[in-house]
Amino acid sequence: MKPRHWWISGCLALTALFALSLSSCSTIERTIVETPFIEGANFVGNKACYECHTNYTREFPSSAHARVHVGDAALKGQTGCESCHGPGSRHIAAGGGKGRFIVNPGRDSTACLTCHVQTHAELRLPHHHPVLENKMNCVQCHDPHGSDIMKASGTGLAMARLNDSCAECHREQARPRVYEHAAMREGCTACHVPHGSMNSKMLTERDVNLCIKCHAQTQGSVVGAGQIYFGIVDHTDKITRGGCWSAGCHPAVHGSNISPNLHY
Amino acid sequence: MSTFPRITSGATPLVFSLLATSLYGAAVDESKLPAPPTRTIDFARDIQPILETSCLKCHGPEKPKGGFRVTDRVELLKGGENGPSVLPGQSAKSPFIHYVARLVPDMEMPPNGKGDPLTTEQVGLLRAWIDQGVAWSEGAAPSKTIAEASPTLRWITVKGDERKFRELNWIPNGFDGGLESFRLREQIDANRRFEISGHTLRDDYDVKLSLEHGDSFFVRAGLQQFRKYYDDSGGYYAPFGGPLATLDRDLHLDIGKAWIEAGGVTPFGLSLKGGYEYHFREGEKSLSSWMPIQPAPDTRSILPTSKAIDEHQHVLRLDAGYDYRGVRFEDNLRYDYYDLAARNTTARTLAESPALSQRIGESSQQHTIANAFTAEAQPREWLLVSAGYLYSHTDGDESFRTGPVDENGGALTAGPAWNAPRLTLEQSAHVFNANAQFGLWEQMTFSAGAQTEWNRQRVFGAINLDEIDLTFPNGITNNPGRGYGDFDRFTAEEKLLLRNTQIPFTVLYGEARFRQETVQEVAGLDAAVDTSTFNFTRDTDTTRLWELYRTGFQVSPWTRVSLNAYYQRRNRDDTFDHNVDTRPYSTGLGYPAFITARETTTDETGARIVMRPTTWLKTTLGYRLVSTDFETATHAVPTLTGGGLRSGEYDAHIHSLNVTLTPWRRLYLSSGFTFQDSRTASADNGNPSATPFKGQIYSAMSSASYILDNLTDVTLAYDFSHADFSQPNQTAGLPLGIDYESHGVRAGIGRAFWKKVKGRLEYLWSYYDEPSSGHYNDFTAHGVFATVIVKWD
Repeated sequence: MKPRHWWISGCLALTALFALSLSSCSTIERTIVETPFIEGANFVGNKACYECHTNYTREFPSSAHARVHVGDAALKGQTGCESCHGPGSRHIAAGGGKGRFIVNPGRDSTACLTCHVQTHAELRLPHHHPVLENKMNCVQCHDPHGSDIMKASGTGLAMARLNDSCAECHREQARPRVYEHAAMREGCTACHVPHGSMNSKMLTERDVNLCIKCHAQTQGSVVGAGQIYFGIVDHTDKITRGGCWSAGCHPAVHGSNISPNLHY
Repeated sequence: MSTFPRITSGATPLVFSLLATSLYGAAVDESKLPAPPTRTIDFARDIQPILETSCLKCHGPEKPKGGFRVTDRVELLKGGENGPSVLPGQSAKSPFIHYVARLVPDMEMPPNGKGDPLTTEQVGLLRAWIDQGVAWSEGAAPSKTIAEASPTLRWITVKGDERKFRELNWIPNGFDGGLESFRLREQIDANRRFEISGHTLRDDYDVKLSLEHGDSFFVRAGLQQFRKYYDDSGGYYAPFGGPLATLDRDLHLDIGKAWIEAGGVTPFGLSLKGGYEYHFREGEKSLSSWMPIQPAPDTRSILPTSKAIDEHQHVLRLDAGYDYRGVRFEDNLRYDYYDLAARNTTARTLAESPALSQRIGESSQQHTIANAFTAEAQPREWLLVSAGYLYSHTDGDESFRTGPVDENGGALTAGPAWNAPRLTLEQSAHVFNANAQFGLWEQMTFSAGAQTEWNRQRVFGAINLDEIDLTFPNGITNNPGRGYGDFDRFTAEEKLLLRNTQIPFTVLYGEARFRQETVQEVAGLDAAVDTSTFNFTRDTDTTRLWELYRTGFQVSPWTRVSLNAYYQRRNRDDTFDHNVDTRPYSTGLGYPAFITARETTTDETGARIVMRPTTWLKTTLGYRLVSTDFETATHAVPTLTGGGLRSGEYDAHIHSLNVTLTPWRRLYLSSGFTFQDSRTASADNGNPSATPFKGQIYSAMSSASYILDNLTDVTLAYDFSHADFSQPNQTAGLPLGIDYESHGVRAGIGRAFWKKVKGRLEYLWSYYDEPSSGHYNDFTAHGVFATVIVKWD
């Protein structure tokens, strides 16, 4: 780690310690996770939710979100539901009902981004999925209740299939072709950042590093310093013109129906 | 269980009714019932409080116990799964009264532990109410209409690159207006509800309708469309100078869908949902694949390109669910028809003059049918098991054609005219899944799952490598051929999850996932004349082993502090066995048949501490470290020995801080700051045109709101983002790194003019500076949004 990283970490830690020094035990109520606020409602625990919402909650203990809870000593890790939906006592007292004294984050990413601060920052990078613009929501790609968070909510079997979430919208890119790009079998995230990136098309990198970190150069005694061979082909001059796909040589990055070398 | 008794299924409600009535009526000693008062009962005063306190919790509008609702008179008299429970004029014979008077063993209502028993006086009131005809006063009916609309007028002016502004902010510049949001909700009665909501702005609208009748029936429909804007400029290379090359037209895709679905629950418990969806994408998008320009002596690919998309998808869905003997069965059937037409212009490999470019047209039509069947049961309180099977099959046709054009898109008289007029696509998948979860809601949860998938794909057809040369009499040289790309893939995936909450205030968890994959792939191209040396045959067996381990904890020893940390390792180990890899003039040149093995290992760790030192201050401090190594081995090819090497490295440090302050009830402040330092480097053999992609990203987000008085509030939000990934390879190559800085401010004031009318005025400022594009993508924008919020209820 470079020295400046320690600088930044140190400053952040000092800030946090300063904040901690302001604390007073007598002023603390209960929540550490910033749960949605529902006036007059108290936490009741997962079991109370299970009474009615069986279809969502039966599998919930296997969910990544079951590891989250509000800091209520009496409920010891059993408040995963209310971490995102808010305290449930008034909802139950009212006999339930959609949106009655309960928060449904499925339509609003605010509840998710309260905890996922880094994801929030990624969604503000220049090229991003339009979640903050309310044109998408988190559950289109993630199942917050199931055992596989990388699966779209309410689809298919319990475990995700390769590229299924992305293909729901990006069918053009995910469709089969005669000559595939092997990276498609590693998943879309081999090349794309799913939430947001500073790079166009939400690429992880925007230069040749994106490709040659996997398509390694071929080695040999005739390869001089500075020369780059992929397979038998000397690419030394080619990569001076730009990235492998952006330079116009291999633009069919998702596969081709005519060119095994992904020229078209 | 707090439920009314379920007798059996398969008989008619009338039989239930008679049976239930006679059964309980015969067993109950009516002399023990409290006497009803003789006065006239007022529903709102005497009865409604009892129902709300003691009944609605379990017998409300959604998922009522025993199917019995006390939400309105109709539902109350209808009864539940056992038929009518309230007999108007006959309180002594009404099972409802027997239950609340606790005269039926195991049927006491509210059940023990679910609420306090009703007092003698309350039971008497209920008796009198039933004897007097079960009056349900109109005033108590929840019929209600709520309407809200927010008409808005917006104006944004941009100085600089307007298209870049639209691309980054997802909104148009100039005048805009419409309804920022609207909502009409009609609670027709306790069970029926109609709602229409959404927004309508320029190039961005979303309208949703729903009509619901409790759980028993619903119809929903909607229409949504938004526009994704693209900048039309290409890359930037400083030695060529400016201005930045552009296509000089507005690029955008209109993305949307329309849908309707209906469903409900039949009287015998079968839930059904069916619907139709239409998805579309239309327009033209920019590509990050650029075209070459050659001011001597250098060539750099920086000229912009675009792709026209006309994509339509029609989806029919039918979902069914049924509970039988404690097992939940679900079936999801889906049919979709996909239709794509796309065209774009792209550069040739070396951009020889005069065939500078290729115009490409593609089409795809696919029919897919898929069905997923799942079953889930909880045979014990501590055990949940589920299994499922998914089958999908796709048939389709693909086509491809290309023709030579010049840099202005004009057809050329010579060049390649490759085409694949009709490629046949077949794809099938069989997926099996099984899961078990132990210790439901106990302090230890263990779950395991396995999924296998067999996938077969066949894509084949004529691929003709024709050449156009209109300077000769024949014009076109036909070069017929055949291409194919087939594979059989088998994947097995297992997962193991463990969660423990035995330690006070602590959640511990561990997770392991494994995937094994084998792929048998055969691909080839066989043109009659291999003038371009593209013919090849390849037969590759691939083995992929993937594993993930993750462990972590969350602990909050004090209610003011929470700490969580995790460690995760992902490893992918691929082996490629090239049984056949031939080309007419050489071997080992397949795509990418020169690679024989690859291993990717990612280590990731992170920690986050959340502190709430006072009720008005919350801080979140996070750190994440990600490190990935890429190892690759290549074949020996003529003149090159190949071998293994570390082909790439990725390292990232991500720090984040979030502070939320509410020092006074009227003031809310929230700030987040994220810093990321990352570096991707590849084995470049010292080539000066390939340099590491490294730099820092700084992001800050702050918002504040202050309530001045009962009528007025002010808000202020500020966003900042800066990244410096500039690259020092201008002399040898094309710097593709990016260096930008953006600021955004949104300040607003809201004021209530009347009880149901509010106004909001906002000012928006957006600034973007990108030195790495020679500042040609820079912009400064100012905007004013005026919105009125009107409510009716």
